[in-house]
Amino acid sequence: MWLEGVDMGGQGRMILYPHRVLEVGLKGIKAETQKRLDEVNIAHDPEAYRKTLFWRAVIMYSDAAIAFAHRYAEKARELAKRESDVQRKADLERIAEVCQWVPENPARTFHEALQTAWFAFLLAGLDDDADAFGLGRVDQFLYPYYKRDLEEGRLTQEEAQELLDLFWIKFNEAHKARPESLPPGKDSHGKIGKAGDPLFNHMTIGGITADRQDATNDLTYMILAAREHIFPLPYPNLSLRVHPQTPKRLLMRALQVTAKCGGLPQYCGDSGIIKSLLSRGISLEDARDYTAHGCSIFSAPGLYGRWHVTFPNITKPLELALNNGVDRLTGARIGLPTGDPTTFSFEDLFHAFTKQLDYMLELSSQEVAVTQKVMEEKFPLVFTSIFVPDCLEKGRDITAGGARYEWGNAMAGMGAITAGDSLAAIKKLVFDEKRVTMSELLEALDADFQGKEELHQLLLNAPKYGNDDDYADSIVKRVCDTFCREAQKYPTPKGKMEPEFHSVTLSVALGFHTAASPDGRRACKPLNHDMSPTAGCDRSGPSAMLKSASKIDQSATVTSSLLMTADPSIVSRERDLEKFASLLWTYFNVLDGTNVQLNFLSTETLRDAQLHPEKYPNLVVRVAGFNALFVELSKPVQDYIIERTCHSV
Amino acid sequence: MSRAEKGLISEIQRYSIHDGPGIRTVVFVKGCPLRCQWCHNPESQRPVPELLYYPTKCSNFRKCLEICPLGALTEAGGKIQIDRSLCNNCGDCSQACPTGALKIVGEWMGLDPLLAKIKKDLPFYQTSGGGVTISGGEPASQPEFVAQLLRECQRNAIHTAIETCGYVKWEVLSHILNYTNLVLYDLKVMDPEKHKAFTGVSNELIVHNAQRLAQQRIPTIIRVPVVPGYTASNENLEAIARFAATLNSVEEIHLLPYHRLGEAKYQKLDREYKLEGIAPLREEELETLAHLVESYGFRVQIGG
Repeated sequence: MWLEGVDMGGQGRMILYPHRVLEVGLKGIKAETQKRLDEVNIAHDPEAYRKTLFWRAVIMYSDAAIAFAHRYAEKARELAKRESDVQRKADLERIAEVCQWVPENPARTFHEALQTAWFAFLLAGLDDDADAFGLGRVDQFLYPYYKRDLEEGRLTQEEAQELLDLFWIKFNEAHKARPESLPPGKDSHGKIGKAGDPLFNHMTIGGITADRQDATNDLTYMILAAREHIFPLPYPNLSLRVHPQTPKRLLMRALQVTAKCGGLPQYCGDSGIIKSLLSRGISLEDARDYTAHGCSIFSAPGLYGRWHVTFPNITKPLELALNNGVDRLTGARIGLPTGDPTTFSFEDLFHAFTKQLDYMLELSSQEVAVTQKVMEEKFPLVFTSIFVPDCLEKGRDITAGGARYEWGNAMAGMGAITAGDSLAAIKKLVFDEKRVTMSELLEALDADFQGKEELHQLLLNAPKYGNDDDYADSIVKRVCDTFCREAQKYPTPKGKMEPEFHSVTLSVALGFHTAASPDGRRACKPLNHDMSPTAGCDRSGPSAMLKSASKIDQSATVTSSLLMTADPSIVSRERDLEKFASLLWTYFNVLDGTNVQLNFLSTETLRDAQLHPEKYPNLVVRVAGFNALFVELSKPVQDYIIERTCHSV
Repeated sequence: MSRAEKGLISEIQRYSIHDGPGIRTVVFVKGCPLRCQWCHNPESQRPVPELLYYPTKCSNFRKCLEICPLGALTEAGGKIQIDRSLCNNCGDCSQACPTGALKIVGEWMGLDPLLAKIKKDLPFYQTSGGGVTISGGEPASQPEFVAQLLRECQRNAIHTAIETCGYVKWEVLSHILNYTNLVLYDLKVMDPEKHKAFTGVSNELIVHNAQRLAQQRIPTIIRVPVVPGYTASNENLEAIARFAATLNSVEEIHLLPYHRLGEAKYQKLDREYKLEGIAPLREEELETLAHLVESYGFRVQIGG
């Protein structure tokens, strides 16, 4: 019924804020901490014992981190000695100097600042075998170092670009061993669910400053160039924050990079995300400083508690409601007995679905509560806490409540659209038009539509979310609202659960455990991805899809990702790119959209569609300024589009 | 509402980016006085609803065969054949078809539902400087409906454009122009004989209307379909440019490269495609033609 993230490794899933370490170095952190140790007095502070343990650990960890960096320095010196190439020898000597200096001391140069950030990332990964650390707004915190170096003649822009490129490459080196196979029933979702073995490290650029000005600077553009330079290396993840004053030039440049470099950067809307964070008690200043981590999770400085993501399968409760609590694939009773669906009205069905959903969420909440307690007792995270605002001041590590803000747990709802489209098909065909009886539908679901092709076609052609059609969209919205409301009902040791819609590729893994659904999806096939329409069901162009997405109350969630697949030709000419930029701008700044991932269709997909049209009945291509279904085009036109796709990116 | 108050619409295309400025919704009306041999929207030519058949979508459920009251449908080799001499385009078969392989193109729509559809993308028009474009078919083939529609769009602060072939009585066109912010005016061939041979009508009225339009001070873009063997000669494009230079409302000319996207639609309508085997122009050839037109003092754009 759900998958959870923590079995994949440690906690992680947070932003490391290197600002303080950049400013004072670990030496400074140690000094501050020693002062706190000297001043704390158990007679006045009943927490003193616990604080003392944490602060002492901070000093020990800092020493270890400094020693770790010094080993790099030593190795570089050793290699330099043996090096005959003059240039390489000089580089190695410089590396030795930098690693000898940071993170122990405050960073003085752009190079040292990058090195500090890299050590922070590397050491946090060693502290905890975790995924998904973000380094926050890199163009912001690095900029003063870059600017000073340039002004004082220490660095040219070309050298800075090279350092950035190298920094970007580093994030492709770190990997972790994931289990090949998990215990029975888990189906190695590490492999399916996180296809490509990502570490989910993440950088954020653009957005607004604390006083609501545009934050774009030279580094914003240089980071886009770094992404371009290292392509096709996949990491790190990169997000561009979009707000009303985002320069058009920046948005257009970013879109060119996205089209060319495998969908990165992705795009985040400041307006909707800041709204969502404010409604959850984040201060205005911190909300404006939000960043992305993981695949597309949004967080503010000093926010902790997103590490334990559970991925409830929202399609499954509908399956259970349509089968009186029994798993249609295994025959096991895993849900509540909610009654015989053939006696249901549509409202009865929705009520049964809600009960099954609530039951599933209650079970997963129990798991969350236990895991959080165990982590706090057994796995404190000292080094990582140095990079989370307020932990040092409070004298508590993040697992013990040191962070400025504490959230319970992220509930990443999956298959919400599959469930919503399924309910829309039932409402339309069974209740409104009465073209199909509930018994016929259930029979077809049991048979996985084998021998029920006609009914299958009716279901596939029923209204679908993603076309700005209120019939389907309003039901999807109701499913999403219900999920968000139910998810926040459960208290955990760290606060209530926070709903979101982002699903990595776990929509494939969970789909594997889900029987045929009334939207026409066959058994074991993937669920929809995050809050995106089911693949190929958005047939009315990108503006209609964005309008559908904007009907979901995205600020009720902390992340609502939307994956758009576009033909690369949509942005191949500057005047078309400008219109696409305007489309995204509107989604974020007028419709309060929060996150868009863009996928520009590959030639391979189109070639496969040409060979196997039956697999791509709804593959929409941009032909010129308009859409067509790829499989309906004549062969020469298909060839033309494939050809163009080859050349346009 | 009577039929006179409805328009026959063949398609509504959102996020159209090649039919005027910004992000636009294009409303294709059905019915056109011309029969251009290269037309890529043959389904929008006749002023009546028509049945289209998509063989790739057909799963041979044979519902259509059972329901057709006129016996106009037969099956051969797993695919449906339409006897067009019997079919009256009633659409019963498309209603019964579970896969959508049979589809009636052309829907009589009232003003309000159509306007509601156009308004769905209002936020995108506003931020991109876009709006609505009425194309077709020929917008002036349904003048009263189109004029009302454009007027309502303007009342809702939506920028309006029409794409017209110009082959229409001036009184009719000028009525629509009252509510039009931008005209995309098609000129195909300047030679009247060739024009008649390629499109079925002479271009005298079209040329004359273009001159009258120029007096109206409505921004106008000339659009030329560039079809090899038909319109794509230096001579023809120079003639068009020379003529356009006499029209003071025209500053921009768009060359629309011929493509073969309409070909499959002819098959779906059981109609003959006369341009089979003609290859679209290469990028360099198009650019040469564009430079030629530019030399007459126009901004020239390849594609819409």
